[in-house]
Amino acid sequence: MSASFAILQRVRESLAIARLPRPPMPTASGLPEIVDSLAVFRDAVNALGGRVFSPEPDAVVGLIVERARNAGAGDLMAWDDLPIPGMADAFARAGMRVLDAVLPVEASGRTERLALLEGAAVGLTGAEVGIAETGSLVLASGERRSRLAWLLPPCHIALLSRTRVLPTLESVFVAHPNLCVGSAEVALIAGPSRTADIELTLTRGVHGPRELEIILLP
Amino acid sequence: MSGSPGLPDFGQRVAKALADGQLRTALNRATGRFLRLRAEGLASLPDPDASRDRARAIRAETLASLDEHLEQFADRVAEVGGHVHWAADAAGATAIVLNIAQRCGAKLVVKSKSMISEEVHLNLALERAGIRVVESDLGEYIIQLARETPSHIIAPAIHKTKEQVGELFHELLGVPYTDDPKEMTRVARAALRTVYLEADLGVSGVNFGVAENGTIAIVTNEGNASLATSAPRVHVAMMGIERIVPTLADLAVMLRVLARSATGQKASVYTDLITGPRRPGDPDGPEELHIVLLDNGRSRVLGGPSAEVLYCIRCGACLNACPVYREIGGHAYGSVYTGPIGAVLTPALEGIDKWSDLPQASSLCGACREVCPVRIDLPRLLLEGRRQAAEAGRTPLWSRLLLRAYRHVATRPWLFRLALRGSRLLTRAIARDGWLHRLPPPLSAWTATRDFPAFAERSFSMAWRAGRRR
Amino acid sequence: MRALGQNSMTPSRRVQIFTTCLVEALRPAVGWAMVRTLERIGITPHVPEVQTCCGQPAYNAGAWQDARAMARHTLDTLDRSPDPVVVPSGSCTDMITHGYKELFRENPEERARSERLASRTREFSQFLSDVGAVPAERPPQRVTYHPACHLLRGVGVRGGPEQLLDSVPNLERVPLPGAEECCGFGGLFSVKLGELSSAMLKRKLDAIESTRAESVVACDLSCLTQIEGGLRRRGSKVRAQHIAEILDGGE
Repeated sequence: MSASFAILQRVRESLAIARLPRPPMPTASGLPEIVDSLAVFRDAVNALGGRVFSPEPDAVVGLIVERARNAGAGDLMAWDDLPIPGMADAFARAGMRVLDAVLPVEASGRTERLALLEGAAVGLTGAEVGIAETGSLVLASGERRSRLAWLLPPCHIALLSRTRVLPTLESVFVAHPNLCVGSAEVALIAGPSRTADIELTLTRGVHGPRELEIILLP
Repeated sequence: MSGSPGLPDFGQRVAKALADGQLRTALNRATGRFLRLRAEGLASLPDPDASRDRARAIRAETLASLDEHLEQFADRVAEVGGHVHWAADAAGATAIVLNIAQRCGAKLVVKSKSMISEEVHLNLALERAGIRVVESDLGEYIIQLARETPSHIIAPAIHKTKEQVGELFHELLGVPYTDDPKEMTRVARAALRTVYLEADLGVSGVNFGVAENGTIAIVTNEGNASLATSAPRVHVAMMGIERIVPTLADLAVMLRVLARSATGQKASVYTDLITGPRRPGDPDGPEELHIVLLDNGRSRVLGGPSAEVLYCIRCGACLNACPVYREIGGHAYGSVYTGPIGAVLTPALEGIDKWSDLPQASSLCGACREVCPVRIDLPRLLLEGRRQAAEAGRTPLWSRLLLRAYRHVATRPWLFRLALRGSRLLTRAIARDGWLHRLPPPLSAWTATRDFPAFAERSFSMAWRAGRRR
Repeated sequence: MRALGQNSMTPSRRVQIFTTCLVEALRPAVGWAMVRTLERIGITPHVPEVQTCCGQPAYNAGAWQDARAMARHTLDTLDRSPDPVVVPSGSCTDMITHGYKELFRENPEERARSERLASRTREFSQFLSDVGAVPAERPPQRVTYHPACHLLRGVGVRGGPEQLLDSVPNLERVPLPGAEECCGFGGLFSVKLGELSSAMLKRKLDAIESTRAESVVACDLSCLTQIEGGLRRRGSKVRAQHIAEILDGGE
C-alpha cells in the first residue's frame, strides 16, 4: 500500500465519522471598496517605505538610469523583455553592465553565477499588476524574467503600467486566470524587505531588497 | 520553589518562567504590540466579521472533502513537474527529506520557517547525517545560534533582549559587539548571504497549498523564503495535509485574514506563489521541487471531537491574546506548538497521556476564540482535552476525589445543606476576622497569595426558607 | 424612579433564582440584594429549595460524569417551574446556556432539555437590562467595573452592566484599564496553577488600584472572590462588590 493511499484512506475513514462544524458561507464578501485603485496603491506603497515615480513617457529611460546610479550600479540585473526602447544603450552609455542572469543547470556553475550576480546593485523588472488594497506588486517569472532580479540586489526597481492597478488580489486572479499556471513563481511584493525580530525594532532590507522603487509607465 | 499541586514538571517550567522578569517584560511588549496591530489591521477592513466568517467557511469546506482536494493538489503538482511525497509520520518525513538531500549530495541546507520541520525534528536528522543546516529567518537564526527552541510562532526570538542577541553574534560570529538592531540585522544579512548562494538545498514551509492548480503559497516579511527557494538547485517544501485551500480565490481570502491577524499588516511583504520548479526557458528557479505532505496524526484528528483544530492557519493571534501565554511564554509549554493552539493541537496529535498538562494551562477566558481568524472554539477544545485527560486518569488524585465527593454532595440537597453547615463551622472556627489566611495543601496554593472568606453565617437558601429578610 | 433598557421580552411577573454555590456559601447578601432589586420592579422571585451547583467545577476539570450528574440535578430543579431563571453569575449562566449542550452532546433528549432551559435563563444584569432596572439610592461612591470572562465572551454581555451602573445616582464609574483581561480565577486553575493565577491577578489588582476607585464591581462572585482575596492580602482598602449589592442601595 503506497503512502498516499494509506493517508487518503485514513482521511476518508475519518470523514465518514467526522462531526465537523458546517458554517455557512456568508453572503457579504468582506472585500474593500476601492474606487481609485492607482491613488490607493500609491499611498499604500509609500506607507510601506517604497517609492513611486510618475515620469513623463520620454523621461522614463533617464529616470531608470538615474535611480540605478543612485543605488550604486555598476552591475545590475534586468529582465530582457522590458518595454523600454533604448534601455540597453542607455545602460551602456552610463557605464552600467547588465549581468547574465541565466543560471547553469549543474551545481558548480550555478554557485559561480550566483556569486557573480551578488554583485548587482539593482534589479530591474517589470510587473504584471499592482494591487491597491495592499500596495503589492505582482511579478511573474518566465522566459527572460529572472526572479533573482527582484530578490538579490539591494535595490529593486519595478516598471508598472499605470493602467494595470487592480483593487484586490481576488480581482487579479479573475482578470488573469492563468497567472499561476503560467509561471513557476508569482511573487506578491508589498514594500521593501523587513523584520522586527530583534526586540520588535523595525529594520529594512534583511534578506530581500532594502529599497523598492516603482516607476509608473503610461 | 514549589511546583503546582499535581503538575510537577509543567509546574516547574511555569514557575521558572514566572520568575524570569526579563522574559515577562519581553512577552508583555510583544504580545501587547501584536494585539494592538491586529486590532488596527482588522479595523481597516470594511467587514472584518465577514472576512473571518468566509475564512472559517473555507476551512470547513476544505476539510469536509480533504481527500479530494489532496488528490487534486498532488495531480496538479505532478503536472507542472513537481514531486509530491506523502509522509505518514515524523520518521517518514525526515527519511524523505534526507533521501532527497543525499541524492543531490547536499552538504549545506538553507531553511525558511517551517513548523512542520520543527514538528518532525528535521534539523537534528540532517545534522546527524553530516549536513549543515542554517535557518534564514532572523528570529530562527538567532535561536539556532543560541541552541534554543522558538518561543513564539511569529517572532521566535521575542524572549531575547537586543543585548543578548548582540552577545550571541559577538561570541559566535566573531563580530564586534553591538546592541543596535539595525547593525545586527546587517550582520545577519551578510552571514546568510553566502548560505543562500552556496546551499545545495532549500527547505521551506508552506502556508497554503492550492488544490486547483498545485500552487504553494509561502509568506514572509524578510524575503528569506523567497531566496531560500530560488537560489538553491533543489527546493523541498513541507506542509501538513490540512493546509490546503481549494482555489486561488479562497487563497486570497485566507491571506487577507492571515496577515492582519498575525501582525496587523494588510499583506506580508513577500507572498511567493510557486507552481512547480524552473520551467524550460526560465533564467532561474530550482531544478527540482519536492513537496512533502505530512499526516502525523492529522487524519486521525479529523475524525474526532477536536477536528476543528485543523482549521488553524498559524497566525499566532491566540498566543498574543492569551493571558497565560503572556505570563509564561512558549518554552514553558515544552512543545513545538505553544499557546492556546498548542495546548489543543499537541495532545491531539501526540496523545493526551504525554501532554495532559497543556489543556490545564488556561483559565478558559475565551480571549483566544475572540481573536482567531477562523473562529476556532479553542475553549471548547481545551475542555475536550481536559475530558480526555480525566478519562485517561491524568488529573491529580486530590482533584478527582474532591470532585467525586462534591458530585455526591451536590446531587443530594440534604447532604449539600449538611456540608455547607459543616464547612461553615470549620471555616469560621479557623478564620480570623472572617478570613482564612493559611490553608493546608493543595489549597495552600490559594492562600500563598490570597485570603479566602469564611463561609457565611447563614446560607442564602437557609435564610430564605426561614422567611428571613436581612 | 426611572426604568432602563428596551423591553425586549415581556417581563414575567415571576422568576426563579438559581443562587449558585458561591453565593449560597460565601455571600448570601448577594441573593438578598437580587430579591429586593427584582421586587422593586414588580417581579416576584422564588428560590427552588433543592438547588445545589450547576456542575461547572467538574465540567472545567474534565470530570464530565460528575458534571452530568450535577447538571441533571440542576435541570430537574429548574424544570419544576416554567418561570424564567435568573442567575447572579456569568460563569454559571454560561454553563447552563452553553456548557450543558456540550455535556449532553451524545444525548438528544437531555440536550433538548438543556436547550429549553437555556432559552429561559438569564444572567442577573442581563435580565435587568432586558426588563429595565430601578436602582436604589445610595451614598456617593467611585467604582470600577470588571467584566467576567464567561459573562463577556461566553454569555455575550457587554455594555449592559456598565449602563446599569451608570444609571445609579451618585455613582461615579471609572473605566478599568485592561478591563477585558482575565483576573486569573479559572476555577480550580486558581489552585492547580496558583502562581500563574496570582501573576494574572496581580495585573488586575494593579489596574484596579490605578483607578483610585473605592470599589470594584463585577457580576460574578468567582472573580470577586479572587480579586477580593488579593486586595485584602496586599492591605488594600478597595472593596469588591457584586452588581446586585450596588443596585440594591445601602452602602
